[in-house]
Amino acid sequence: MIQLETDHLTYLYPGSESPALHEVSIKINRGEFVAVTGANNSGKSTLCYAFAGVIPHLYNGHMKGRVLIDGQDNKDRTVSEIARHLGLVLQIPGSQMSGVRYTVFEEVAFGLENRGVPREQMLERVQTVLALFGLEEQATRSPFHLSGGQQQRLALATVLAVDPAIIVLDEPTTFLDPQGAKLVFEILRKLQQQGKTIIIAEQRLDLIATYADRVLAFDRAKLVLDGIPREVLTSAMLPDLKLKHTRYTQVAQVLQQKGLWPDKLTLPASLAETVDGLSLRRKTHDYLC
Amino acid sequence: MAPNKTTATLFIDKDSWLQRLHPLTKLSYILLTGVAAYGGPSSLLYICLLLFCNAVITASGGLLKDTAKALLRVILPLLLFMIPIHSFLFPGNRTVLLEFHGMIVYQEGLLFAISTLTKLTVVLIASFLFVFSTHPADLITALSHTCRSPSLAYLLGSPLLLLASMRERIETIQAAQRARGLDVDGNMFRRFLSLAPLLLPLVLGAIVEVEQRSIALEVRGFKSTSIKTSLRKLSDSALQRFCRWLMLAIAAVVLLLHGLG
Amino acid sequence: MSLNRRFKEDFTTTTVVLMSIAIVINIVGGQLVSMLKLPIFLDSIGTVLVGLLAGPWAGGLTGLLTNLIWGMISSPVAAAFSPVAMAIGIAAGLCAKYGLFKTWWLAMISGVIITVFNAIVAVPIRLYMFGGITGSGADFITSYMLALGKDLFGSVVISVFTANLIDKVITAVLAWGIVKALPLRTTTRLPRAKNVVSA
Repeated sequence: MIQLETDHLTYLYPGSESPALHEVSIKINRGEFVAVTGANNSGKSTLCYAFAGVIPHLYNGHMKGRVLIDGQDNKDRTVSEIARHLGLVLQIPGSQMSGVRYTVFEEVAFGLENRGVPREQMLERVQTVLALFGLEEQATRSPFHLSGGQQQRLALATVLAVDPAIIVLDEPTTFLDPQGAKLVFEILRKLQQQGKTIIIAEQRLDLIATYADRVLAFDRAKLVLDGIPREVLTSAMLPDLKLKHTRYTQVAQVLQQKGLWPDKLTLPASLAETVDGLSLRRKTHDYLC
Repeated sequence: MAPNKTTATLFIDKDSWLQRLHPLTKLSYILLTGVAAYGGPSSLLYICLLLFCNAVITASGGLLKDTAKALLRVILPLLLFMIPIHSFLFPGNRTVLLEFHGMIVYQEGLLFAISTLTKLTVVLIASFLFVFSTHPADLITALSHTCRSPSLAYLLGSPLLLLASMRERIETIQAAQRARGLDVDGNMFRRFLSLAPLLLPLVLGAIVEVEQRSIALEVRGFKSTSIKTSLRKLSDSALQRFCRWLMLAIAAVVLLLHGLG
Repeated sequence: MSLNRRFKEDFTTTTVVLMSIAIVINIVGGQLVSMLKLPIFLDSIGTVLVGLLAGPWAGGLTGLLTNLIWGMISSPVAAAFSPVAMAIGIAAGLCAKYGLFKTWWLAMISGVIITVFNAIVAVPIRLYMFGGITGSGADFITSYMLALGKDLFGSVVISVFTANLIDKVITAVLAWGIVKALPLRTTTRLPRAKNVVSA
């Protein structure tokens, strides 16, 4: 069932000559885990902004085409209304803190206060979300005294507090260490299992390979590849998009050149796929001997 | 007097009736004191009466010591400049009070200095009362309730929190500066040149972040038109509301009389 | 309610966030300068920046709130001068509006104009609330003028003007340079930036 859709979406930032998105049509189903990848300025962030209605509501640029959430056009709703259905997490952890709340607990409540959620309900909701993200111990600390990874989890918690069905993340791991990045993806997987739709702009292809169901690759404002991670991430086009194959694909490429990779098997993108491929070869090898 | 670590303001975490008072009540009190000191009779006795009232309130809130310390820090340099400058040089000086090795201390100048200082002290005490006893989070809540303007509350509240986080960045810079033995004590021109590389990255970085900050606020319903609720509870009462209106009314009357007189 | 509506029309979220950042820049600038022991204030770069990027009213409000916040974090004396900071923001915004921030030398002229606005508002406050003396370096100029036989008003005008002239000119030029250095992506979000950036 289609939940989120862009229809021939083209967008130009104010004062810009070339489009940031060009004729992009995507359909995303409920419960999918979609990764959006591409070089810098390829259109990833702009797509995230368009999903959340930030474009065109907060920018004056030129937009053609439509963005629909559950069949409703984003143009007909305000950014804050859209956020009830689709939550947006941004790149810089510290810049997503409201700046007017002194504790993590109050920070999570901020979005609920703005929407007029009754106090009792608010308390319950905040506690639930903090527990989900392992931030209970930080509840009384200042949002500005958390690590980048904790702040990013807090940002996700504040978004989730209003319980949107779709969560869009614009390169949330850029400023995190590998451990923090992995933790974000683990949480996202948990959310997907709870029925949420996840869309994440991301350059760490190894994480995409492990966690995503589907990958969209962008090149200079256009959607160029759309498929399962193994298909997209091992594509020979990747270097043209200024993206590097994962180390697993690179290893398998070398093995393939030396005739050590099963002939009919496509190249792997993740560790699990590599292990599968090698054990398959081992079996045929044993059989031949 | 170091600012409070968590609030970045001079807030003192104590539990007294002043702490529990609604922030707007305290703000109205500052206004009333200001108007009473500058718009009321200029007799020294009257000003001293105001001074006494403020001191009693301060003491009852357990803030006498802190207020005295803070006052000393602000008033002392003023006093050291004002008393001699005006006693010697005040243009209205006529009456010689005493003569000392050719330096003449005049009565008019001395009185002028004393009256200015006491008036200032009255207003300062009221202001310190407010600052010492008000947690900024309460002020933010009060403003967003009363003005119904999230923007105004944001504008007063967020700089305080951002400053607290910025202070750490500055301390790092400061430490790096000292470690390199850089120019904090060098000649003025060199110190001046070291200013730009310190300030510009900080400023440019902060302005570039404006975009993400505003998007983050918008998607969290900052501009939502629904009636907002609040997690933080502020104690207020009918009596306090009455007092606020009364103080504002008295201030208005005093101003009016002052304008007429 | 009407205050709320006025805010909504005049100030977008971007402007409001810019103002809050500018207040922080003002305070940090002031602290850095005193850390480096420089004989200027540099506590209104943010105010001037907002004047340039978001207009006179936003600039004025930025200045006003900066001093109210100074009042809460260091000394209430700063709060007494909040109308002065407000005048600086309004002046900067007006100068930008009339094209007086297009080049660095025009920015210097704006610096002088801002100093005049500054003095117009600062002098009455200094005179009335502080009897002309504020316990700062400018007091030496005031007392020198008094000793020369000038009246209190004239002495304070001269000392306020001289103590601020260099500071405000430097501030104006720095603000001009900062706006010039902003990435295009940021300036397109701030409609008034074109007053400075392009002809």
